[in-house]
Amino acid sequence: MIHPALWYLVRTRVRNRVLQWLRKLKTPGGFFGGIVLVFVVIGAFFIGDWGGVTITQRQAIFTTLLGFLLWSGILGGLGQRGLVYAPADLDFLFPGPFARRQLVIYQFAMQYVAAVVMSIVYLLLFGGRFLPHPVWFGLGAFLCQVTAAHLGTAAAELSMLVADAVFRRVRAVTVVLLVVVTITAVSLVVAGIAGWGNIPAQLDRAMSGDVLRVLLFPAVQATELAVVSDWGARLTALGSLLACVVASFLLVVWIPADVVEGSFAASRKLQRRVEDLKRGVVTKGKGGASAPLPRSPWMQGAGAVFWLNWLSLRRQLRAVLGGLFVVVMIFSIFAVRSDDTSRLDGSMLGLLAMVPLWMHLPIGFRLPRDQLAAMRNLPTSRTRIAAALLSVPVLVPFVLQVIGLTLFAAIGVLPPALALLALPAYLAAAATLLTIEAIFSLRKPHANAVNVLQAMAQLITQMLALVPGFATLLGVRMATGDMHAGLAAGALVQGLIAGVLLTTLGRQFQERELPGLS
Amino acid sequence: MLNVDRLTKKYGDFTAVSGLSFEAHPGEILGLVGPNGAGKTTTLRCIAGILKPQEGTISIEGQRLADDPVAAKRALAYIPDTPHPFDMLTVVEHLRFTALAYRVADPESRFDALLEELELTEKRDELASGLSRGMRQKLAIACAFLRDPGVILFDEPLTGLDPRAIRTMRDSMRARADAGATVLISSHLLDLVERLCDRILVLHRGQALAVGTLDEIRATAAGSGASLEEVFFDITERHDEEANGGS
Repeated sequence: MIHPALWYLVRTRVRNRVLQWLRKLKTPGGFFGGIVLVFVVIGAFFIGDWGGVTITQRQAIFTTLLGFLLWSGILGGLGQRGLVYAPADLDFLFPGPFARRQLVIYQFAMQYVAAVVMSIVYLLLFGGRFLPHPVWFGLGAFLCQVTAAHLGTAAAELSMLVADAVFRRVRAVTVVLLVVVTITAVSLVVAGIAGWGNIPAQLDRAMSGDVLRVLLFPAVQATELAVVSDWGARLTALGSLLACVVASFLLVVWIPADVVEGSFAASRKLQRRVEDLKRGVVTKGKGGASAPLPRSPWMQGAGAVFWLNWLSLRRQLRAVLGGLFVVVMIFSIFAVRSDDTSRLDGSMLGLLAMVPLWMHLPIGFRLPRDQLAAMRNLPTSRTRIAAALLSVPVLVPFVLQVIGLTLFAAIGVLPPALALLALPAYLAAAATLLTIEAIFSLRKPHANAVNVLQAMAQLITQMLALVPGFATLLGVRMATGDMHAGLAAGALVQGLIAGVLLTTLGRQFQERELPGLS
Repeated sequence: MLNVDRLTKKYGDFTAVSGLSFEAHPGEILGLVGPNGAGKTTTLRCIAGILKPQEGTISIEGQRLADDPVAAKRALAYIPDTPHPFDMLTVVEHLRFTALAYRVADPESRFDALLEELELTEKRDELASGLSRGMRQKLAIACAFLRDPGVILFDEPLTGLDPRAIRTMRDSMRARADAGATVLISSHLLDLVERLCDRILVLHRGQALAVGTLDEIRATAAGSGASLEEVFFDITERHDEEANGGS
């Protein structure tokens, strides 16, 4: 059914991706990311207790999650005219000898692989301990996602068939609906998993309504698989899901849309957006978005670097808002627990989970090489430049965390203030270490070929950087009996460590040769 | 053999290509020149079957693109201006994929010579994500050459290549044409077009202003002895003046 060349392409891409991921674990960044991932998974697995939530209530929560995936796919499809392909697909497959149907099936094949991975993630995070038949839940989640992929594609095909004016109106409506559905569903799922109030019971009641059961039919059947024990009911649910998969696939094939041109336009548009975002271009054209020359004397010299970073950040407001959303979610899942110990564990996990988020913001030292070289050549102290470069990446997660904590403080659930107070200093320390490592790595022809020992040393160093702060906190608290004094002293020590590391970074930035940059 | 007849492509109300007709023959290199926004890339994408024209027909090796796109595309190779190879495939895996897609007989025996010709031998087992821009361009060209297509479309083929690679590419394009392929090159580099192409098509605002050998075009424009650059400016500026005068 799938063209042999496209099947070869899928297999080879997946195989090479897995191999590359495994190889990446050898690099400091990959190793550190892997450790964080393991912590998060283990944390999610062991923290919390769902004893008070009945099986049918759990089923309703997971139905909401899968139903959200289903409808976000459909609404997303209605909002775009064409499927989104990778740039390489456009260059190598679109002019190639492949029929429209084969290109769609190829796209599905890649989505099926992603659905398998996501089903395993759901299984590990939720299904394994919250539902009676986790493996069946994994299978149901996979089939539900496949149906969602098919229906999303069918919706995108339908969008291609309508007139421009109609499409624009439909898109406006779907964007609003998508936002509403996302906020509602994610809030309900998080609140349900966190065991907030009587949300699980309310979800359970809602899911017994006929309309919702029809609207979320594949999701209902998927979670049915996870809870039923007799084979008759299980086979019925499985058969229903398979019927959904087949029917939705036939619908895609039946709709007479020209996916090639529509998908080419949609993919190119997205490609340009991604390239713009990578270059820090978010606002362009209309109205002019140039920032005026800052008048503050603080913005002279190294301050100009801060200004540059700040502008870059402002123009990536969506990424920051996305970060804010993630922060709220992390604290919802991990920090909102019933006892103080869980809260502490949760906030620490939340802290760790913040690191990859912060690392992905394209500001600070994660600049293109030529820009980094231009920074080095500015006529001011390189230590100051380094500090200015780091200030925004440290400041942003700090502000996000303050907002996240404030939200929870407002409802009377405040995770330990330690995380809030020590975070900037911790991030400065971690950022400095990573940046020093990055400067060293630039000297190597293959920066990825760093051994595991180096990665472990880096991780241990980062952990050790936190020890003096913790020790000071505990010591001062024991001596004075005042928690606030302990926190302040701990944060002060942590800040001093960050300062020492920052100075080291400035020196490295000044002294190290960066071939190809200067 | 490539035949384009009254091709018209519109994006909403904007007409990118209007009633364009031309032919390109086996063994010939046809240069497509025009300013930015002239419709060159749109024309190439229509021929490659990526964009669907509102009017007109395109035939590749006698096969009408609208009737049987798969068969027509099998005889065609399109190399975009900035090729994006698959990051997760090595150079040789790209060739294997192309061989499967186009049913190339005994492809492995041709890999070494092709990689040698395009100076990619050392990169054979490297992932495409690690290739420079010029290397990516060469990889796309290697994939195109592997299957000996009847019609080859190059969109700005020499962008990002070093002088040595430019010479290699010029020689390769000439060799493919001499071997019987129909080659269509869209480029801003008028010197390249003048030296390499047998015939030239000047495209401006979606319309063909002149088609023919450089001598034939000179006869209608700047006069004998003029360079392609002079001819190009003469034709396009005259067209703009006429358009402005008429409005």
